[in-house]
Amino acid sequence: MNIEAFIDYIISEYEMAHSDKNDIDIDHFWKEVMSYFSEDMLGSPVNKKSAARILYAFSRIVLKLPNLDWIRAKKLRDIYECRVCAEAIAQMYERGIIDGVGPCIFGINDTMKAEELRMAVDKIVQINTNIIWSL
Amino acid sequence: MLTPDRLENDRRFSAFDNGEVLYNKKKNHLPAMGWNSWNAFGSGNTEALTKVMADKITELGLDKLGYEYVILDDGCYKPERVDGRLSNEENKFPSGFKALSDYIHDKGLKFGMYNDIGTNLCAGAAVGTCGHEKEDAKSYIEWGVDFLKVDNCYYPFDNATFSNPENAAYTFAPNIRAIKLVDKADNSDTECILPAVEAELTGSRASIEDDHITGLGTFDGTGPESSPVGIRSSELIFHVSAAAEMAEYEIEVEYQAGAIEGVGNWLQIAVNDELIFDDFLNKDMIPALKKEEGEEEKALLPFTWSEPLRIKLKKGENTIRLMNHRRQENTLNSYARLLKELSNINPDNEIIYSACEWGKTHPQNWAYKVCDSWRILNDITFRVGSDGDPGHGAWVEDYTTSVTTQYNKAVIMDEFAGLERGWNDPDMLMIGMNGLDETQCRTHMTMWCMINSPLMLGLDLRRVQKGDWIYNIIANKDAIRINQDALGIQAKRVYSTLQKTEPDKEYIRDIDRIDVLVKPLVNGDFAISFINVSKEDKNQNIRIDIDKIRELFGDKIRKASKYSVKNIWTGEVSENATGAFEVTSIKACDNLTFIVTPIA
Repeated sequence: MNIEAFIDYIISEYEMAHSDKNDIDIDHFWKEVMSYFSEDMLGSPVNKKSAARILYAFSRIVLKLPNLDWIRAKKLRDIYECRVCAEAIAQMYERGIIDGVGPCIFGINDTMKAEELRMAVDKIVQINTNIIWSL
Repeated sequence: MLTPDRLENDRRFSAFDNGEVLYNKKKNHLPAMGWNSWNAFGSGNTEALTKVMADKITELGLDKLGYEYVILDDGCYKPERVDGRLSNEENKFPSGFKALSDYIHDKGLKFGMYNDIGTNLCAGAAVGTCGHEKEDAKSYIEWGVDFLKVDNCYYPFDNATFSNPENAAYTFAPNIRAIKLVDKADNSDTECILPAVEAELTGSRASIEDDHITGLGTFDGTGPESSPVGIRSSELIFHVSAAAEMAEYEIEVEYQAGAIEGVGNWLQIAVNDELIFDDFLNKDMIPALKKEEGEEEKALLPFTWSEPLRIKLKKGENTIRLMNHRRQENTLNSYARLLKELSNINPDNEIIYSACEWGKTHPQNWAYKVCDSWRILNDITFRVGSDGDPGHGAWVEDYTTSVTTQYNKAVIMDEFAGLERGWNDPDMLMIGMNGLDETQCRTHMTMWCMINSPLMLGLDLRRVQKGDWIYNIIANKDAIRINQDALGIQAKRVYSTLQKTEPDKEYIRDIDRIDVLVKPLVNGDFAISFINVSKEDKNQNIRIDIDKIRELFGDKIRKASKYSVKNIWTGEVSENATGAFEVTSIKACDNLTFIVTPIA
């Protein structure tokens, strides 16, 4: 699955799971993530840092999830190699949407398999925002 | 295939200390003050938000205090060039950059933008200046840009963030076991092998490992581990004597090429002062070369002898130096390429040029030639805000992401700063972000003002009201006066409770301490700041005498029989007739900072 297909997959899965979807938010999300990637990049495989950025944008713009404090994420040594995706990685890691490759390494440049991407999307579209807000 | 430029001598390591700038770079700018979008909104900044921030700067009167630049950071361009040119991301910046620039200029403010010396920006857009300096300079001049912050992601000639890790091949010399000199003068071909471990090793990066030298290059200064002070880049120097003038020899090098941090493949060889080789030694191990499918780059090759190079030695003592200063030289050259094009279009431009290469290549050594300031470390926070979320800053962290990590390094870098050079940049202010309380923000402001850092606000200014605690910190006229003092002298740390030797040179990372900083100001005034870096209250008598201060500053500090002393945070004024400045207690993370005026 390449980056463009991954973005499309998130939107279609969310639309299937939520009949009360907000089209304006989805449009905002799509425009936001499309601004991250050049044409070439959209056709590339999805690495973990890109997956985290896309899913984080989705969590903020569509699901309106608040940021969690960094607890486990602080231990990820490679998180500081990416200033534009550090928060995204931390949030996806703290929420258990994307795991690391060990207790101290996220593996920011590792390519994610289609199955792993689908699992991450399953987890995030199923988040009940009411429960998260009340935590 | 991208390759580093052949370099002129004016941007070589040997020219770093000559005090000369490139391309008529204008100097004598005080530290820049303004607002930058990154800490407040990350790559989610928009034209609408930027206009509101510009409005707030004038509404709050911050412009009258010196905050004049409004800077768009990463996330404002289209992800790819349009007809080879930079272009605005239309959803976020629908009116285009010239219109936004005009809006900001109409308010009496100045307009700043962002780019990168690599192929892509850090947020991913494939619009870095690398190879596009000419057209980008044209765009920036057309858009009326007054300030440029230029990053270092996706840089093709170093193992920078998002770059190929194998680019270390550019920035380190191979491991060196020996050199061989073959006398070609009389066709005798007499050989002499000189082991590397017996040669002279300068700098602190390289070391002896078994029978060879490794680490010929310089430290990566992105993280907080290495001190910025002292000679960091290493050279391996062979001292050889020749019996005849212009004696002809061949030199061969026994080397092990690599493509990992510490072991590379690019070697520079100088005979006396002449650089005779500056290139990859092994022509098959070049990171930019396309590999066969399935072929992996080897991290280290076996030791081998290089092809011979013809050299001439003078009669008597000679030096043959093996090194690789390209990590610094290439980065300087890349920043210079954009400056050159800006200067070609407008030789009188006063664009403030901010190098954001994160201290990776020790820019304190070279950036004054092309820039007005240089970041000293990786970012001060990775938890930037967005519209509705102020983001998060920290007082202390193991990595660069805290006030104290940045301060610990900047506070010993005063020797590199000044009006003729530029400013150490410990990154943008985090005042107003979550995670820092009022006391910490006040001390953060004090630190940045004392060390002549650029003052770039990094918060959503809609959260500030005139007279609230955030306003009272960022608008403190005495703090700003210290930062913007016309002498442009960065404070020197004159004392630390944890110092072992020289307080102004020693890299102290343990925050359980009190520092005392002194900064000369115009008219014989000076600022003195007692900073409790730790998160514990300190009840300790700290006393600094005027004579001790004068030992470090000489006539820049005036001795008097009486001094007027103003606390910059309380406004309280007192008189001192002893010439001894002391405190007995300081709250956790707090500071006591005074402007001292000799009065008799």
